[in-house]
Amino acid sequence: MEENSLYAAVQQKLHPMESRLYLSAYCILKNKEDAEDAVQETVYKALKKSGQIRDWDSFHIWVAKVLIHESYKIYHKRKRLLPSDDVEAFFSPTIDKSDIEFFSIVSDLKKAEQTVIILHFYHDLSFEEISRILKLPLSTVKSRFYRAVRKIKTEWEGS
Amino acid sequence: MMEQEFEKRISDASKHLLAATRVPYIHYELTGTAEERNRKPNRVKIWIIAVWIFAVCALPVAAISSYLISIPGKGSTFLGDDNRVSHSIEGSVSFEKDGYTHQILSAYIQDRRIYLELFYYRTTEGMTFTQAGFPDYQLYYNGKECGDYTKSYGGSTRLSYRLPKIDKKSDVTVSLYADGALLGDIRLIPVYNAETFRKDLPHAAVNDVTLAANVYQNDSSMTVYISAILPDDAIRGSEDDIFLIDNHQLGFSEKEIYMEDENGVTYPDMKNKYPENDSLTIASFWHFHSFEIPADAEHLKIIIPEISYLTQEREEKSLTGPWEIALE
Repeated sequence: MEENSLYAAVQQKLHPMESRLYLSAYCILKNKEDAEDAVQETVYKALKKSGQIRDWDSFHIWVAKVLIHESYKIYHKRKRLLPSDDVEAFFSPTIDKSDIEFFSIVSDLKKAEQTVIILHFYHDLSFEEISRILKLPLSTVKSRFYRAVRKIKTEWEGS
Repeated sequence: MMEQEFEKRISDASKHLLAATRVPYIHYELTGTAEERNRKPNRVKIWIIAVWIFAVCALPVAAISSYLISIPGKGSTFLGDDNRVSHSIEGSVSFEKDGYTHQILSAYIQDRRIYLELFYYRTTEGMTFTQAGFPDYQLYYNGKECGDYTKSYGGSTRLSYRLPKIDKKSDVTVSLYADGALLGDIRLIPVYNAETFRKDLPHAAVNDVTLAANVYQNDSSMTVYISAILPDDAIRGSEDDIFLIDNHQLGFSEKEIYMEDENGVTYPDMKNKYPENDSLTIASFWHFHSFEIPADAEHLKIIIPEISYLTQEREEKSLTGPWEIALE
């Protein structure tokens, strides 16, 4: 495939994923500018590596992995420097308050649990796919997931 | 059943959030150099790498060695489960030309690409006052110019060039040019494990963590760069990274560092002296520390009371020392 066609193919694949990527990055970083940086860097890497993509069916899994990696890189680099945003301003005004509460709870989860929740619910990835991305045993992924769900339940229902 | 219902509730909330996310404009373009944008993918090379990666991944886990790669001036370790980094500089290399200093912080060869990170600054102003711009660098090996990649982040400049086939067991010497003028030669030596790190740099070990210091003296000002060998559970490099050094920068942080002389006089880290300086803020993430030391101070020690590092599960783990690195 020619380079321009490759870029077009990447863009075609990424475009429907944009809200997933941006929401995930924002959930980790709690800052719009940082989230934009993480997404932009992910797009850059996807384009840069487009010539190496062989399995387009798994492209979304690889992109999710890169996004998570980029977000945590920024998180650990800048967490002491930037204040968090007003979360409500990130979403369109039609959003329900209960959904915002859910988002904030996930955003405050321990990073190990948060990653599993983000990949499962925001990216629709299976436990097996998450296990591959995080290079963790399936049992670990599941235990983190159910632990996180219990925490979300406790906090969400208590709020 | 209750749990499944609750997961459904989470799933619905996630869908609402995705629908309500206001996505900003995303640029679908590469921001590298023109040569990089126009370069055609090297399919043969990619095919070879893919086969190689497959072969490595197909090995039983026990057969994959966890090499401790030691990069003087950078100190990165646990860069991966293979030994792809073949060469590194022995220590920081510096060139001065026309009032400017080009300080090579790290240089290493991985998969026949050479990666360099350097600071470019006006000599009279010192390393912490890095320039926003940088010259046009060229790299030569065996009299031939190497291709093809330049990228700059924040206060440092990062360069990467392709190399022809090299002997992994011999030294590699490359020549660095800036704007067409020769700056000097950079010699890279084969690296194998952490022994070089432990042998050549002042260091201190507490429990499973070894911290080492590269020290650059400039009159009364002393710049110290801290490197680490971290425990087995520390986060490792990712194959998605273009520059390995990122993992080192983010992998650990040292806290409350200071120096002490033989009389017990302590000298604080001066990096907070210039809080408005952006370059310095960035540099603080790179394990650089500045101390103002009187000329008569002797038997200095760098003392690091505490460090933290990221585990592979991305949890932050703190360890207390102190690590006392004696400078002789």
